[in-house]
Amino acid sequence: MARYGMVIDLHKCVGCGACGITCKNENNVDRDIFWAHHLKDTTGVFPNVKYEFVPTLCNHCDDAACVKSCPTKAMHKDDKGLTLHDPKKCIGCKSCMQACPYEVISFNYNAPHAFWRDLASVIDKGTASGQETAQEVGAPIPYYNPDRAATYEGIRSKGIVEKCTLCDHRLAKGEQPYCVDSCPAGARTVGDFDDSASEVNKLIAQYCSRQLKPHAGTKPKVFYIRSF
Amino acid sequence: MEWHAPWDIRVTLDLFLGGLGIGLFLLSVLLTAYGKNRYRKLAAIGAYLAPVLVGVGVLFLLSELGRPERFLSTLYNFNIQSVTSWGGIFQVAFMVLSLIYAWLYFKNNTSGSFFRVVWGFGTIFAIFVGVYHGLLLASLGRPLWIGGMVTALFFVSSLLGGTALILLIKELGMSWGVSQKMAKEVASASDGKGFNFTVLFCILTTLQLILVLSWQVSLSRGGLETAATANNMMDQFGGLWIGFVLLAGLIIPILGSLYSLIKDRTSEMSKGMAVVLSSLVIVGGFTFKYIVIAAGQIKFPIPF
Ligand code: SF4
Repeated sequence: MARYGMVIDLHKCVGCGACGITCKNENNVDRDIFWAHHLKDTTGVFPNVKYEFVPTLCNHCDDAACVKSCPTKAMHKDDKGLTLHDPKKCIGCKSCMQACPYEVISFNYNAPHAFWRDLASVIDKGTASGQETAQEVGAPIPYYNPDRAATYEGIRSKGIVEKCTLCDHRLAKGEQPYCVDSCPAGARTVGDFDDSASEVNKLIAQYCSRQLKPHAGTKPKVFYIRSF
Repeated sequence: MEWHAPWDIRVTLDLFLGGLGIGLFLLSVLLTAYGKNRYRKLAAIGAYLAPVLVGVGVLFLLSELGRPERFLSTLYNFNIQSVTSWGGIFQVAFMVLSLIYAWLYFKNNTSGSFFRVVWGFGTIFAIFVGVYHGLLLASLGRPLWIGGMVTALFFVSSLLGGTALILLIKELGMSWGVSQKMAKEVASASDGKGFNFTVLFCILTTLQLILVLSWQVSLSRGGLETAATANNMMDQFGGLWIGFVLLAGLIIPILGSLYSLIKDRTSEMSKGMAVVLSSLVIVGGFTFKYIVIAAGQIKFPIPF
């Protein structure tokens, strides 16, 4: 069994947030939901100020707390070591959200993408409403990516959770997750930690690495090297 | 974006009403063992109310699920590692057993071997459900809930709630029409071999106070994240916690029941005192569960 994960080189990261935006495009993610997100921290007093930007995503933990807590096995591990979610099994109990130490699982309180069903426009009779734009494009949302539906619901429904899949649909085709491909700084590297020759293993051998909340005991597979 | 606590008050209502239900059931079981005939009415009311309270709690929980129509899938997609999965089995088993138990009481059929089997298994599953409530929270590993204390706290709170409710029912319902003399006789008959509600009430409130204080001390020494969560709980709910959980829900009931026992260790609390203290315990128990569930969900920045 493979163990896919990611190494993020914070020294290369420029904090542009492209990963978060392109993730929404690739995975048809709604505005208020973030599969790829970031932590920001500013410390010190001018002129000695330090700004840190740390991109975050599902850690695809080896010992995933969400998988253990899910009463229906909707959260599960696949043969690549990815932590995936089966929307057909999900009852929306939100136990996984409570158990996840990283707060990277989101719940659809309402049907996603309300904006693209809304008839109100910014300037009445001046600009197109969200619904008109979506209708023009002929898709549920203007940036709808049909490839996403290969392994997950294209757009997840109301009453269930959703989360990062490390672009399992792209990995299945031998492609990189879209956040990796779209990072202008080349800060993100994905690979199999069980393959000793993989780039991710080389990076964590070369540099000191950190994980988020290692004390949570979930064995997260997103490693951070160097600093912002 | 506005942050929602993943679980709203309906989860508290499930754990609170479910706790009262199993507490009542265990009291009914205890009264049946102590004196089936002497406490028949009280044990029967406990038997009738237990499945109703647990059932209403489960309805609140179902309404909180995003996809309640899929609830039964917790039985056939059972995850052996998930406490919630086990909880589903325990609650279904308890509901079935407590309904049969109530039916047997209703039919006045409480002496056969079938009744004893239902009585025994009902007790086991009531305990399982009571333990499950806190274990569910503990299993999620959030800083305020981690460790075994929340399991014990929720279980004792449920027993205490059940005891308070049965006392309330006894004082408001069953003592109506019972003469003062007869009430006195029942009380003195309980000396040594009968059931003294005041003693149980006093023991459970004291035990719960000890558990709550130990929990708070262990939280404050439980590392940065746990201590921060505990401080946050007191910042947000400090007034409610001290006023309703500690003072009204535990300390005043302990002092009141102790006073009554010191005055006459064989008799029960006066009716007025029993009604007031039981009501305080029930309100305090609800506030306790509400605060622990709400404060446990507060989101903290992830340290890097
Ligand atoms: S919300 Fe869905 S995925 Fe999460 S624990 Fe509940 S059933 Fe499992």
